[in-house]
Amino acid sequence: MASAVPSVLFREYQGGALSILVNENPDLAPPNVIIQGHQSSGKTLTVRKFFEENPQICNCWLNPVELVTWKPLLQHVARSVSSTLRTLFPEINYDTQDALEAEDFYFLLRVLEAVLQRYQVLEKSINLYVVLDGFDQLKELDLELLPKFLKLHEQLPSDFKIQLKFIYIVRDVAFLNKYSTYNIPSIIFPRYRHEEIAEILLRNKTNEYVESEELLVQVVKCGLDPEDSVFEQIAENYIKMIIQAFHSYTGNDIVALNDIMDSKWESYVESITADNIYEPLALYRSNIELYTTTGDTFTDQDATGGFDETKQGATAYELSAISKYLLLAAYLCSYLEPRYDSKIFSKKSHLRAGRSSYGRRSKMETNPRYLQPSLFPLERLFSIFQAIFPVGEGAQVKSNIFHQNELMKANVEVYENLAELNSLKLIATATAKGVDYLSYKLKWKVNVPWEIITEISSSVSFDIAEYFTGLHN
Amino acid sequence: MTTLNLNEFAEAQKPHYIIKPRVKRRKVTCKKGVDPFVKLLSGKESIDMVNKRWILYHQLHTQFYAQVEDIVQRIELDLRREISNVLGKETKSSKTPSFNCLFLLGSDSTANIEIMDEDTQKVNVIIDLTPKESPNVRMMLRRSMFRLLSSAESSLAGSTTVTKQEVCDEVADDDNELDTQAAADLGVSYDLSLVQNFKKLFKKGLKLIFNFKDVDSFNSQVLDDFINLLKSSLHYDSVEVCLVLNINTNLSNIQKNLRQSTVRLLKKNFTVIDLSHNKGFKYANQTFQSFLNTVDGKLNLSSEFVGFILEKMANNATHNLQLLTKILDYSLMSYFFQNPFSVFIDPTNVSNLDENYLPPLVKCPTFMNFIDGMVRNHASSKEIMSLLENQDSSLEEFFTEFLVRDNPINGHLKLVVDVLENQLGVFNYNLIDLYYHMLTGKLAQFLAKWPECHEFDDILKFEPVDIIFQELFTLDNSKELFSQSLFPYLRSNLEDNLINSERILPPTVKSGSDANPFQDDLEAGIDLPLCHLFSLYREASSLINLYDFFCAFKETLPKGRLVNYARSAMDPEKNELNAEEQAKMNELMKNHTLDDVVDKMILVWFIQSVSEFQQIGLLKANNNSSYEVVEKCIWRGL
Repeated sequence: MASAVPSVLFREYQGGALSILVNENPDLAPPNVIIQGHQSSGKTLTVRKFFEENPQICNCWLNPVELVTWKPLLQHVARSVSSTLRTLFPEINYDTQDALEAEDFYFLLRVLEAVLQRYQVLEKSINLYVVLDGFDQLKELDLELLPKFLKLHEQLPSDFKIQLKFIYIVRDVAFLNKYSTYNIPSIIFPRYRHEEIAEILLRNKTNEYVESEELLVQVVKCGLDPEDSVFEQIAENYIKMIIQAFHSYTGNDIVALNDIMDSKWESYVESITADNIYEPLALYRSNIELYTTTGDTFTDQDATGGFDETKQGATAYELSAISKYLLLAAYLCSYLEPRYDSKIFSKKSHLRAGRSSYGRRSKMETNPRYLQPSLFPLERLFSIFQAIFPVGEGAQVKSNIFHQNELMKANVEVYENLAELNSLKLIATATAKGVDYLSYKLKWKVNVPWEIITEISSSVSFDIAEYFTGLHN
Repeated sequence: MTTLNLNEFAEAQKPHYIIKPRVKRRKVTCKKGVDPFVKLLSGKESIDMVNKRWILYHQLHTQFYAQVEDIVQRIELDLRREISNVLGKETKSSKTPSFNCLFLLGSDSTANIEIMDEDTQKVNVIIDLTPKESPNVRMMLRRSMFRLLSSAESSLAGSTTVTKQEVCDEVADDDNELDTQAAADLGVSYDLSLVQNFKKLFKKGLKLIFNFKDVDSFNSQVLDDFINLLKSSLHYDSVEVCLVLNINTNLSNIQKNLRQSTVRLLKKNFTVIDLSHNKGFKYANQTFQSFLNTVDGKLNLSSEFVGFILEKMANNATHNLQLLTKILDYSLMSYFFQNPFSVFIDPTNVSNLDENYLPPLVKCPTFMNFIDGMVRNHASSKEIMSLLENQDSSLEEFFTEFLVRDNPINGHLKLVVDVLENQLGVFNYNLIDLYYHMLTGKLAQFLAKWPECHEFDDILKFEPVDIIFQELFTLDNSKELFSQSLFPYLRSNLEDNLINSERILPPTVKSGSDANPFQDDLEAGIDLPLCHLFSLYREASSLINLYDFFCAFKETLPKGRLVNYARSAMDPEKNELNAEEQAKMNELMKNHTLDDVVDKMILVWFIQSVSEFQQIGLLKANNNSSYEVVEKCIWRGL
């Protein structure tokens, strides 16, 4: 008897192929079937639907990605085979075989043989399908694994009443191409096309959105009682708009589109008012920012609120001025050559003047910012920090009138801030383990990209870009 | 036979050692004469008053500390409640299954996580994962599942023993048997099947809380994979999964390392709690207010001092509260330590005011201003003179009169706070900053941030007033005392001490009799060799030739004195060596002149000093092959 064909949208061919290749009768079905298709192309859905439509075909389902390595995979194959059979035929009793023994293919065979042996009393021989969903997602995948599974049926006696058959669901084409010579019947799931996605999502999501509580509550709040068709129209418009806005970002990934839709639905509903509920265009305009960002960040909520006071307050949760200047100094240390230091930072003109201070004026091949940060000793950091830290800031200078231009010296605070930067991993040490932080041997480097350092420098109005002009070609 | 002890060997290979000295709790006695305080007023203060000063300080200190402890404890309670509220949330209610995500910002990964509602239908299991334990997904999964199993078994064992006492044994046994039967049937392995079959195994629902410690140090790829792996557990029935991520840096840093799909997954149901105490001004405000309450009506804070607090707190973003407490505590201590008038904070002590206290009183700037005013207003000279010379103890009376006068600033502060919080609903203000602006008379400028304050302008208006003798009762950062002692310069202090050994060494005591020629001669005669070498070191260029260095060192030492010293040291009549030592010394000196001996002494000092410099990190041997040159490691004036 032929298997029933599952009805999955745009997967008619694949469903038909499945119903041909998978059957409860061992004589009518090949021992291995491979299903290949990219992420969210409906593989799992189709196979699940297929088994739902054909309850006479026994099957068990495994997710190799959860099992991480091949050993637990083997153990789980053994275990799920035996437990599936036990639930299918509770009348056949035998002492349990420990599935954990299946530590290798040889042991797996032994366990399987011992288990399947018991079912020789059955009258009719049947298939038991083991579905390995996402076979290539196994974390520690090696190339030997699939062939071993493919050949498993040859090792088991063919006169067993229970015949094991395997279905491998695989994403990666390149992985499959390595086994093309095995001639395994494969079903390919192509990616959905744009129109197909739209239709699938419309069909699946419209009802969910129309019946969603948020929409009802909002509509009641507006004091309206529109017809069902209005609800439908709202939901449909929303789905279409999201697909159009984000299709270029997600590609034909239904799951991603689905997630984005769900995450924005609430704020979309909130913008519904009595005025715009009947006018899709007005509704679209009222929440246009929904379509301009994907919204998959953790932080955007914080950015809007609570920044007004904290910016200049003493106890804001951000880097202190000392930390910022230390970080700037560290950046300069890492990306400027030491030989330019006297020219750039010295306040004594005779040290600055001329080529004598830093040798030949050959420009660098590349912008130093594109290179790896170079290492520097702590002394250099502190001296550049001293050079760039603004003199006469705060109340410190007020009290000592006699030392008007006292430079910032590294007191305990500076060291505290350095330690903080280090623990934030903004400034790193050259070696990570067993570090003696005050040792002169220790070298440091900055661990911050240009984008962040410019942000920091602009927050203290320090033009760091100026230090990097004219250094390279 | 000797065996190599591995621990000893490892110990010997260490480049550095960590010594944690036990903190000795200073025994605080209030017995007379043994207080840590000393007599002031050039030693004329009575021992009674010193003791009273000490007791008074002690009272205020303990009072303040009790309040601070209270505040700190409250912080922890607040936090714990907040966390467990988030974790206790029902997640299954939302239509799509999602992780219950909690981001702890600014966390040092020590936050205590506990679940309040332990119900009978559910087992709560907290699994801690550190970056070290999580090199890859396999290890993470195995570790966490192992922990899940062990803690579930232990909690279940605990509950069955309870039931055993209540119900008869048979039932419990039955129960156990069932469990083991089911377990054998399903098999237990350390992977997600354990979570999947949890209900079947333990007959209870599961709330699984993953506590990722120090998330910044995780391999983000592994973390991402692990979260994705857990995704399928969302679909198991009666299983809830909470993810707690302890984040040191910031959210965007974590976010950029995760896949977008993972971010979307986590974002479905996520909460952010900022653990750092200094988020907002709440706790710092409370601490400062409690300090003001402690010294209320007694002490004033100078605007320089409050400005100093503000500046230092701005410089330290992470341990604000501790810093604030430290500064306030230190200021209180130093005030009581050095101000003899502090004792009069308790007005009952004013009966002990005697003539020793009067001279500093007269020199008070506010008092002199007052006298100035009297002169300008043509007060009778007799009145003025009687005040200045304390005829009929008029000055004393005058002082007592002002002693009980209140500074209106604290009262007004309470008024402003009341208006801000209760009338305007503003809570996000910095109390210390507010106080600073009040002291400097710029309250309006501070309040300009909230335009709605204008309605209350008439009651909020405030002008700071000067009270006579207030400088005697003011906490001040005078002469930069606090900046020096709380935030010392590390390097410059070291350098200065090496140049000027008098700064740290006790002054030489000139004893009249010539009892001990050794020490006397050496101490008075020359500075420490280390200091001599350092003054040379300062002059040298970054690479130092050791021989040149030695020659210069030899030149700078006062050779004549050393020769004299050596001669007297070797004089058998003058020194106090016993016969054996004397014989040894003679043996050493046999073939050498006095000059040779001194040269040797200098050489020994030099080598010793250079190696000491290497130890403390001022010099480094240039490289392994050349021993002639050493290199400076520090730069001056940092």
